[in-house]
Amino acid sequence: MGLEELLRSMRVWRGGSADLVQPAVPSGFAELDRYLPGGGWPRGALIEICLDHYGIGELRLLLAALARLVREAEPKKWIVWVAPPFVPYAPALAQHGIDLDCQLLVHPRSGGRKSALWTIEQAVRSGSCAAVLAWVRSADEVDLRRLQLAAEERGCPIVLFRPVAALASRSPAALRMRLTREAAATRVAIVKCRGRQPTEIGLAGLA
Amino acid sequence: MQPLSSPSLFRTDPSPTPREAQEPRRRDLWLAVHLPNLPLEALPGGTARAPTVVAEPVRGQWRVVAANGRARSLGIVPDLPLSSAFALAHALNVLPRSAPAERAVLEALAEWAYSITPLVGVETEASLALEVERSLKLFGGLDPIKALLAEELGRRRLTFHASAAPTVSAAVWLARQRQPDALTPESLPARLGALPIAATGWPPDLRTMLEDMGVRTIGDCLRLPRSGLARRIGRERVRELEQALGLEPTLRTERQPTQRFRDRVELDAETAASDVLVGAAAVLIDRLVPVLRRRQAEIATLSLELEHLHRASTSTVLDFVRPCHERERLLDLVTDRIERLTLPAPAIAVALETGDFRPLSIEPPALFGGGAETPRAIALLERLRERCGAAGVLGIAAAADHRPERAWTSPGRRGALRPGACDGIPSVERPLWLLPEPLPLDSPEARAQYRPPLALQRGPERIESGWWDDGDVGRDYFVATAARGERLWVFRDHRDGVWYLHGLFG
Repeated sequence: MGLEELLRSMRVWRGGSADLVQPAVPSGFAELDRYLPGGGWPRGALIEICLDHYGIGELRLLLAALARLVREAEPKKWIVWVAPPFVPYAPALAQHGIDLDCQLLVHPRSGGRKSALWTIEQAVRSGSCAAVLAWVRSADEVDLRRLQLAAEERGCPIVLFRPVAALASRSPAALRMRLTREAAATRVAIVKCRGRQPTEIGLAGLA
Repeated sequence: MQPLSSPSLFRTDPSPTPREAQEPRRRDLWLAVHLPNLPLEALPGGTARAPTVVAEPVRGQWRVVAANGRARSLGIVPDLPLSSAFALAHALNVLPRSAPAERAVLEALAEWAYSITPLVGVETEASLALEVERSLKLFGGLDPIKALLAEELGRRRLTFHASAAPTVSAAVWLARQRQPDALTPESLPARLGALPIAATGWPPDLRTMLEDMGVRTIGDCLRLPRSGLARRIGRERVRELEQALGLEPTLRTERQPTQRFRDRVELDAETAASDVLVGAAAVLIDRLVPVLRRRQAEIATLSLELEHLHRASTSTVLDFVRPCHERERLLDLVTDRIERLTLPAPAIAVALETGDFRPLSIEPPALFGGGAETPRAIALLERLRERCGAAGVLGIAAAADHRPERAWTSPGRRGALRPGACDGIPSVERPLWLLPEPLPLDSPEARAQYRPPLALQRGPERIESGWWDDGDVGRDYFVATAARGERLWVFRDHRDGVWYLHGLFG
């Protein structure tokens, strides 16, 4: 195996900006894509977005990528929203070019965390979802590893929204971020990502 | 038409009515299956080890109808008064006869028999007849068909005897007496002649009368003068004899296959273990799927019933998002449901009943507008609905209404029609999150989360609408920024001047 290939196949970690080939969907924000491996949201991975307040642009970050995933899928696949804290407002989604027919909202009735995690896993493993967005309070490392494996196997991204306190515990997620709002800009702190150093950037006009 | 010059078994009297010529007809071969222990085997607890009998009241007195091996070894035989049976065996298990249960077993077997031939009939209360002449070539002879029958009846744990003959009645009579096949019409007189009168299934008083006359076998019956016989036992019975011999055509109404499936499986022992129950349900599904396939049908609902010994059975109904005929999908959903059921007591039997059969749809109706959706997508939907309830799984759609809370709907995912492309999408930016109910900014939760004062960024956008139904609104909407930087969608109600939070710009 040549040196080029070895480096490209992500088996060797190189500090600094390595050009890694990882399938990714551009987020639509060039500033963010520059710092994400593959130049966008990873296609088959568990992504943790930690935030303490809603309404700071957490969905806007994903919308362009979600719209693209839905457009590309043949046959049509779902975007599953598991236990969203509020109602995803249809006219607003339509304004951002999201296909409303492909959205599925799931509110697990009872069983708390276990139910939610079961739902996410079922959705990913069914092979009929383009992406899964979930709002979970707590999840332990075992659960997260299962989700990460499921996402990798099926090539379906799982975006987990968790409180900022969750960043203190370890997680096998391929990408971990923290979102906060400062002045009129959203600060995106990439706490963990494969092959890159943690960074923090500010995105204006997000929310 | 020529009068038939058949070998007359009835001496002397020329028949008063002219017989029609028997046109050369394609030969039939009927295979009759007789289930001698059906009253016992159709009931739960009928295959118990203890001496068990099935009894029914005959003219006011309870008599034994069938007895199991242990009971028979103690001397209990059919037709014994029940009191005598109790004298012979103290710890006797008595089950009342259930004609519906027996009928159900026969019907289920008849449904299965459609895999062999389209001409199937339930002939008596304990036998089934299949016309197999036209199936011989496909199955490679009578023996393979008998082998299939033996296998299926073994699986259903029914004792049986099967005999073949050119006419239905002959086959049934031979089967009842456990006689071997009579394959040619020429052999029929001799074979039937040897059978006792009991083989015909005629009522006991008729049998007694014939015995008193010295007639013990069917052959004796046939040697009697026909008109005299007809006077004694009735023309109907004489016609039955002629039909059995093939001298008269047997007119039968074709049995129509049912439009539903109902079957049950009895468990060896009471159990509450879900894997055993799932196994029993799998057996029933394995019986259902070939029926559906044969009938080119699918089902939209399924009802599962778990029977308990001393209480009413537990039943549960499954509704499918899209009609189903595939084994895996049925099994998955039934497994999910059984695992989630809480049983008040261990179950002794599992019964399955489907809704009406629907013709198989060629093109599945699209849940998504336009694209064909895959079975896996449907399967996921059903699994989620099973776990989260039908109300827990929703889609979203835009609706043409100025009032923000009504500008979206959630069609339940039952294959609901698309509300139509919504051209009412506002041009002004809308928040990605909407609160289910507007939250007054004065309320404690709002104060805790979004400390006042809020800086109003954009607005006002006046929305006044809904005077025609009860949802009259008059609001001024603003985009505001909270202390921690969240962007909120708030409004001020005209009528009371109260500020509310309605959405967040996610």
